[in-house]
This record gives sequence, structure tokens and C-alpha cells, in this order.
Amino acid sequence: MRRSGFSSYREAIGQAARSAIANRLRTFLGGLAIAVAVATIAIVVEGLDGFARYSRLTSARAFGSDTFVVTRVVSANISRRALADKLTRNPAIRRSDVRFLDRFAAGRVVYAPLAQRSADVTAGNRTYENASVGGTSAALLEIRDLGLERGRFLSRDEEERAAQVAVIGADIASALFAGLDPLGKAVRVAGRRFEVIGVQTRQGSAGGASLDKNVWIPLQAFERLFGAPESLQVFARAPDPAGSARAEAQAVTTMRARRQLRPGAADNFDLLLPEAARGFVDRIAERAGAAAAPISIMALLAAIVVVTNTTLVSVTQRTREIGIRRALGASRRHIVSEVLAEASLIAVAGGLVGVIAAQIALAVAEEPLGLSLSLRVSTVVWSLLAAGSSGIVAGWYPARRAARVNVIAAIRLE
Amino acid sequence: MPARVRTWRSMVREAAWLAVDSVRSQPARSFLAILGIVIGIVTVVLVTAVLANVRNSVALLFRELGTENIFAFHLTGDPYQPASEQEARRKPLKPAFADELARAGSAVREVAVQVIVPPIVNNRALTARAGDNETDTVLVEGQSANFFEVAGAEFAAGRPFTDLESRAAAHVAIVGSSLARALYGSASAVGKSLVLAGETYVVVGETAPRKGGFFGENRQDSVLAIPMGTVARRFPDVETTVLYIRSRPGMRQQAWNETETILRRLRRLGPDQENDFTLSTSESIIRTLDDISARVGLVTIALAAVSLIIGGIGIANVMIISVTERTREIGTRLAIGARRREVLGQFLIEAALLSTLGGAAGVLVALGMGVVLTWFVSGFSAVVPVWAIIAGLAASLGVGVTAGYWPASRAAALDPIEALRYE
Repeated sequence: MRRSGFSSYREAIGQAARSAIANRLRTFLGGLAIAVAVATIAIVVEGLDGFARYSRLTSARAFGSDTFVVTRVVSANISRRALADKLTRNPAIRRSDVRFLDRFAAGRVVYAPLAQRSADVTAGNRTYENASVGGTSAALLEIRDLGLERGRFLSRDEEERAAQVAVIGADIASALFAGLDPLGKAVRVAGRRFEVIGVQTRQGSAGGASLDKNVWIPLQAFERLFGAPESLQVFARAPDPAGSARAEAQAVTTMRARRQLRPGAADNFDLLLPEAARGFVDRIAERAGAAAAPISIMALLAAIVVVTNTTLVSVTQRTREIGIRRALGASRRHIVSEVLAEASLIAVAGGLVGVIAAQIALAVAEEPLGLSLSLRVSTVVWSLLAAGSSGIVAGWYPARRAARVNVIAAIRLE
Repeated sequence: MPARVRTWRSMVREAAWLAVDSVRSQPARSFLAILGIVIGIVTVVLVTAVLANVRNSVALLFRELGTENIFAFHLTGDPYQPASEQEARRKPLKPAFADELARAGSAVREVAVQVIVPPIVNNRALTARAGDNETDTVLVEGQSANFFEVAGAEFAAGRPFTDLESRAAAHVAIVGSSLARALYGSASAVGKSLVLAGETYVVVGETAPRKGGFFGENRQDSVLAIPMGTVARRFPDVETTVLYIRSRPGMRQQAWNETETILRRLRRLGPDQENDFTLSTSESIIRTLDDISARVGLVTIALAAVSLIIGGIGIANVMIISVTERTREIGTRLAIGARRREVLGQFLIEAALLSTLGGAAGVLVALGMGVVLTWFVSGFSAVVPVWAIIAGLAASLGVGVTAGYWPASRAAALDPIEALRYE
């Protein structure tokens, strides 16, 4: 009589389950080994991902995913010689360039110039040292996530008349005004009086630099304080997120027209694209992953050995039973699938427990680490797949031993 | 009753034989249990070895700058990197401070000066060229004549600068070993010439390769040193200065205090103003690095230890199976007068035997893999230190005893009557 494949598998799994349950302790320990390994791997993966996501979130505040910067030179990832060449060839970017860009933006790009330097900011007898003073325009609000908690950002009118107004970051607000409402109060930047018109929410830090020590003032006011900067950076963004490739092309074309570059001539300005800005965080996470991955794989390897042993013992103890069943007509394949099923069952159960433990550990660690951590569905799926295939690998040797049981000798066994 | 008079030594010997017997009678199962521990120990020992080697190599990098020296710089941190925003407004130290420190400091033996030329001067990248070979991985430095003596660098060939060469702004150079290889291949650099920023220099010395480094990299080997006076003449805008203050033997702390006082006076700092410069020693730099690397190392070793814990679970598993299978035997032994302590000891020793065998094999495998990795991966060292071997063996023993305790105490707690009835 031939049984269907399905019912044969169901029977194999049933047998495996009975065998696993009959030897509770060793099943438990085998599963525990897999659980520890799977939990470790899942926690490492999600921990690294959580860190990378956190850094991306904060750096997106400084540099959104559809933001790009027109700048004189991007110095990262080029040789010293190429950098020196660019510094000689690329002219500084000035306010007139930004006006030109604006005039030919055609509604496809929003531009905001930015000049930055550090300076002390004071209010009364309190001082905040080395604040990051940024001279910019009203348009920056449309480009960067500035997170205004109170008040408003610079207006177009204030920008044009170089008004002495400032929007301040959360650290500066708390250091200078300690709980009082800063709006309407005065701060002094490099000795000149600015009226506070807006306060930012707490932003965190990006790439190790705090985003909460900014003081935003109109670019023309900045130039009156510190003189014209050597070169401006121009932050840019497409108002429509789908149009960012077109916006980049638009910016390049406009700049080339402004600089009167002939077709074929190299650009004498650089574009800093979001991918390049993000590269740094990803590289760190990648390196940490490169070190952590082999170490946690070793844990899984050790766990496979434990399950192999558990299954091997089970096979050895049932040698007589296996011999009798073989004598009664059970096929080799049947025995093999039964042993593999037992190993996989232990491994998958262990994997399930490991995934749950990882979720609990991540939830507990979330608060003190200040990261948002949780298991993604994809992690759960491949963790269980990894556990299942570990079971198959672990069961392979015991299954072979079971299939080769000598029927006569096994029955004679006492 | 023999059990009463037996010494613990014979008891241990008997338990050990029982353990060996049991391991022998179940070779496949014991092998797998041992294999689990091997994997755990290999992971822990190799990770520890790699961390220890990186740390030692980096520590050596700073020790090679002279352990008796105090380094004075106007910024906190790496002199080859740009200033942080907080310190951007600090003024560099002046080379002339060296004379004042040497004159006024009673615990100061000698002061050397290093002036660091930035890689890009007047929008031009600095490169070193000799014939057809040109490299831009070069760090140009001006050095006082006594620099090599104070910093203690070894020469592969040639000599240090003389005072006269510095005063006359002579066009002479001393090259690091990597730079010498890049410019002259395997030939000796001494006596050859090179071109730097359009001027020709004659190489008078070549330093020996440094032993320390970060993954095989040590930028001291890429240094192109020219006399201080020559830097003042050719690169007049350069003012990034590091002072190397060598103390008299055993007087480093005093030299440190004197340096701080003298520099504060030279910088005209008031009594309530903070230092606008940073003093450090190779030890203080290494300590700072150790603070950071200890945290990274702890997390990494903890991660590696997971494998060992799983190996321990494997041992516990085998022991539980062993105890269950031998229930009748244990019952018999207990019935004819074996003490519970003896049964406990027997199984603990069996567990310890398995795990220590695994530990020993693991250490051997780790040693071998360390040699292979060091051999094949350049700039990577995984030589296993002796303490890591001892720690690995101790850890495996500890894991074995811990993992064996639960099964062993189950065995010792068996009721002899029940155990004899067990089928």
C-alpha cells in the first residue's frame, strides 16, 4: 500500500514530536542552544539596524533624503591631488550665484544659502560658548526639518533688510534662558543684539555634532557680523519629492550657465548628494556588522552541534525500534525524514523561543539606550529559516546513521 | 566499609577513571560535546587575541614616540587633523617656546620641535617625487636637530639633521621607510634626491620601519622630515607646532608640572583661565584609548562568549543523557554504600573532563588559526597571548563544572530504590 507524500510527512513529524516530547530534558537543552544562538543573532542584527536608523533619522534633520548641496568642493573620498585641483579651479560660490539659481529655479528647486561659523552667544550675564551660527534665508525652512517649537523662522522681508533677528536651538535656549520664554528677548552674537523670534525643538546629534546649538540669522546680517564668507553652501530640494533627480539636473544646468561652461567642460562646482552624506553612517554599521556577523555565526554553529548530539542520542537509543520498523517494511527514506523532522522540530521550536526572547530583550533595552528597536518581520522570517536549516544540518549525520542501521543486528540488540 | 577510610585523592582517581570509561564508551556523543566547547573556545580565544593584538600594536605606536616624553600641543587630539569647532580659535604653540622650556625647566632634559606642514599648501597638494615615482601619501614635517634623539626613532641608514642644516635652511630630508619604498623601491634612499613643492632635497637619512601601528599602518613611516629652519623659509605660513619635552630620568611628573607652569606664563593665562593647550604622554594617550577600547572589547567578548555558553549547554545535555542512561548503575552504587558526594564528584569530573578536553583542543585550533590569519591577512595579527590560553582553559573548566552541576546533582539525589527499579 502506498501512502501519499503528505500523510507520510505528517506521520514523520508526529513520530518526531512524540520522540522529542518523550525525552523532555534533552529536547529542552537542544532547543535552548538554538534559542540562545538565534536570539543573539537577531539582537545583533536589529541592534545594528536600530543604531543605523537612529543616525539616519538625526542626520536626515540636518540633511534630508531629497536634499542636496551645491558647494565649491566636496572633499570626501578624493585624492589629495584632485582636491587641490578643485580648490584651484572651482571659484567661490557667492550670494549673486544663489540669486541666479533662484531666478532660474522654475519652481522645480528651492534654494537656501548657508554660511556657518562658531561664535559665543550671550544673554545678560550668561554665555553659550561656540554656538553654531548660521546665516541663511527664509527658504531653509522648506529644505531642512528645523522643528520649530515656538515662534517662527526668518521671513523673506527680514532676510532682505538684514534684520537683527535669530532662531535658536534647544541647548542655547535652555542655557541662556533656563526655563523662561526666550521669544522677544535679546541675545548677543559677536557683540551685536538679535531678537529671538523662534526656538527649535530638541534635534539630537548627527555624526557626533549636536544639532541643538544652532543660531539662525539672515545671511546679510551674518555677513555684516563676520564679513562675507569664503564660499557659500547652497542647500537645495525639490518641492515635489518625485522630482529630485530633475531638481539636481536643473541645479547643475543653471550653475553651468551661470559659470558659462562650454559643453564638455568639467563642472567647476560640486554637488553633495544625500547618498554620499549617508555613506559614513552606513560604513560604520557595515564594519561593526562585519565583525559581529562571524562571531554570532559561531554561536549558531555550536548550537547545531548540540542538536546533532541530541538527535544522535535519540537515534542510538531507538536502534532496536528502527531495526524492527525497517524489518516490517519502513523505507530508509521514511526513517531519514523522521530523524530530520525531529532535529528540525527541536531547532524551529528553539528558534521561535529565541525570536520571542530577542523581542523581549530589545523591548527592555529600547528605553535605556534611547534607540527604537524592534524585530522586523523579515528578521523573524529568516531567523526561523536559519533555525530550520540548522535543524536539517544538525539532523543530517544522525539520519544517515539511522538509515544505515543493520536490521538483523538491531533486532538482536538487547 | 572501604568508603569511610578512602582518601579524597583515591576518590578523585576512581571518579576520573569512571569518567574516562564513560567518555570512551560513547565516542560519538562525547566528541560532539567536546566539539561544541571547541567552537566556543576558538571564538573566545581568537576574538580576545585579535583585540589584544590591535591594542598592543596601537600602544606600541605611541610608545615609539618616547615613553619619557611629554607632548605639548595647542589642541586636544590628533595634530594631523583639523581643529574641532571648540578649539578653532586657540593659537598654535611657538617653536621658540622650546628654548624657554629647556632653560627654565629643571626637570626638563631636552625639548624637540615638530612643525606639521598641512597636505595642501596654497591650494597645491604636496607630493614627493623622485624620478618617475611620485606619491601624495606623504606627511611633511619640520624637525629640530635633536628630534630623532628625543623621539628615539631608529635609523635604517644615514643620520639626523645637524643644527647648522636647520639654521642654514638646508635642503636635506629624512624619509620614513614606506616613503623610501614608494620613491626608491628597494634601493637605499640615502644620498638620493627628491622633489618637494618644486625644490630639490637630498636624502641624508632613512628611518627604520616602526613596529607599532593600527592594522599595519603607521603614518610615521610616511613622514618626510626636513629641518625646522627649512620649513620656516619654504612654508612660512605653517605654524602647527608640537613640542616633545623629554624629562630627566624619573622626573616626568615634575617636568609635566614645570611645562604647564611655563607654558601658562608664555601664553599669558590668568590664574582663573583654563589651559589653552594640551599636555599628554604616551601613557596618557594609551589610557584614553584603553577606556574606549575596553567598552568595545567587553561587548565583543561577551558576544563571543555566547558560543561558549552554548558549548556548555551541549555538555549539560550529554551529562543529563548519561545520568539518565546510568540510573540503574547509580542506584546500585548508592545501594552498596557509595556516598552521594562521590556520585556528584564522578559526574562533575566527567563534565570537567569533556569541557577541558574541548578547551585544550580549542586553544590548539585557535593558535593554529591565529598563525594562519597573521600569515595571510596583511596588517592583521592574531598571535594568541599566553594569558588568553590560560583564560581559555580556565573558562572551559568553569563552563564544564557549571554545566555539569545540575545533571550531577540530579544523579546524586536519586533514590536508590527507585533507581534500581528503573528500566
